[in-house]
Amino acid sequence: MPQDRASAEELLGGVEAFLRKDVLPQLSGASIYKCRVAANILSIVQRELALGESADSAELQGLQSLLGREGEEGDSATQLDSLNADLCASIRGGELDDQRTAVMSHVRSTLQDKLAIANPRYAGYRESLGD
Amino acid sequence: MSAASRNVDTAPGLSDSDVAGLLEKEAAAYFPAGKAKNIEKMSGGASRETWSFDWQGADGSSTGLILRRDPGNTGSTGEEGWRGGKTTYSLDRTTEAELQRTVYEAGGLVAKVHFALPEDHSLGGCYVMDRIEGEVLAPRILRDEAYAGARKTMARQCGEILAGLHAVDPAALPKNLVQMPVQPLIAYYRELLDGISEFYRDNTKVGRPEYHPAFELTFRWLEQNMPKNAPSGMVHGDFRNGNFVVGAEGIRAVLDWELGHVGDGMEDLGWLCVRAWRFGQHDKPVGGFGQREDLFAGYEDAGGRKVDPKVVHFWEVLGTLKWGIICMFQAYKHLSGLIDSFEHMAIGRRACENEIDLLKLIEEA
Repeated sequence: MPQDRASAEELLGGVEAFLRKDVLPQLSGASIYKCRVAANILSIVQRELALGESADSAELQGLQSLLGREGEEGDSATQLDSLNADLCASIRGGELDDQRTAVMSHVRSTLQDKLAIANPRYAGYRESLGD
Repeated sequence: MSAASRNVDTAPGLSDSDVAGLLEKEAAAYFPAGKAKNIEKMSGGASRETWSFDWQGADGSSTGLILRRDPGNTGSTGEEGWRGGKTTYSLDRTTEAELQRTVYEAGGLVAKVHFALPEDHSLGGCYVMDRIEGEVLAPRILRDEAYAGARKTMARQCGEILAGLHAVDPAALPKNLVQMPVQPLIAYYRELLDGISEFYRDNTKVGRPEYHPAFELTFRWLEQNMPKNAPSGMVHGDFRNGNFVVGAEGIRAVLDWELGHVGDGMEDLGWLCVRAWRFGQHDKPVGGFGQREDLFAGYEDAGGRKVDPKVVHFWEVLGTLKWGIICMFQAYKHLSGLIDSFEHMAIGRRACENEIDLLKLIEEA
């Protein structure tokens, strides 16, 4: 059952704005840095709430089509973990050497989705999108 | 016991006034008659502390000095390997001081070491060296007008400094300097990655391992592109913006020798080109201040071996991988309770920045 408003994203957004607008200008020294990090963390979590689910399902689809299996039965975390374990072991063992282009393309798009959450301003991310 | 509180009761350390008192006593035993003045703690952390002070001689002379020490004289050697909070094959203070002396005697750009104290001393493992005045903060060195001239020549100067460093007679190096050629270095980071992931699976509430296919692709690429017949010599191990003391004319001293080891000198050139050290100056691949051609020319002109850009690229790839795994390690330090720092925890989310860069780097080659 959905929770009442404000939503999780709205709550976090409110706290983030409080940190940036009210708390930050009053701080000095090492606390300034810590407060910025704290506000950044709240914005990461907001983006994760908004984008995390679709990133997970895109990653799952990508893994399934790359590896040609469904993954271990269970929730999406279990499936993702089993397929990622396979992918990592296969790369490590050289079994995917001849599918490098497909592997790179899957890994790149998964990383782009991670960066859209973790740090969408990162220069390497913008470059990978062709910006 | 909550994991996060563990380090609080096992590493008592000394209070700041204890350190100042002991330092004054040791300095008095070493220097000619005089007094320690302006004793000031410059930076403190879980791993290393830096103190600044002046020795004022009875004859009116004054010498600016730095104390570099391990905080806490217990516990630091009790836990082995990375699980004890060490990211690396780090040197103890005694060996680091010895290495700095060797480089100083060979004419390297490094502060002169006056005296060192062993780990079982009440002050903890530490040493006292000359204080070289200048700027250390990388973003200031890269942006302030005062260093505009320095920035133009620093890439070349880095090449020259490294050529000198790599030419230090191996026989003169401290005996317990670690041999770290490419394979053990890669194996070390492999173990770090796997160890962190296993720890998350077995020892955290989330109970899930962590997967990094881009790191796996990089390990595979490194295996397939390993330089052949690399000569062996002294490597600084952390030669980058942030470990330079810079003045208007350029680099005055190289700091932080604790990752020094014996290996392939090209490691230092590649590490200097890792994106993390550019601080946003992306058109200047060498430390955010210069071009690779100038670095290589400086190195060769100062007597270094002919630089193969492919080999430097290999080390830049390995350096970017190292930095990505160190991001994971920073988060791990908090999540495992080694330290209590939410800022470290957030750095774990920066591993993927290195991964996206790695894909590009291994595709370029």
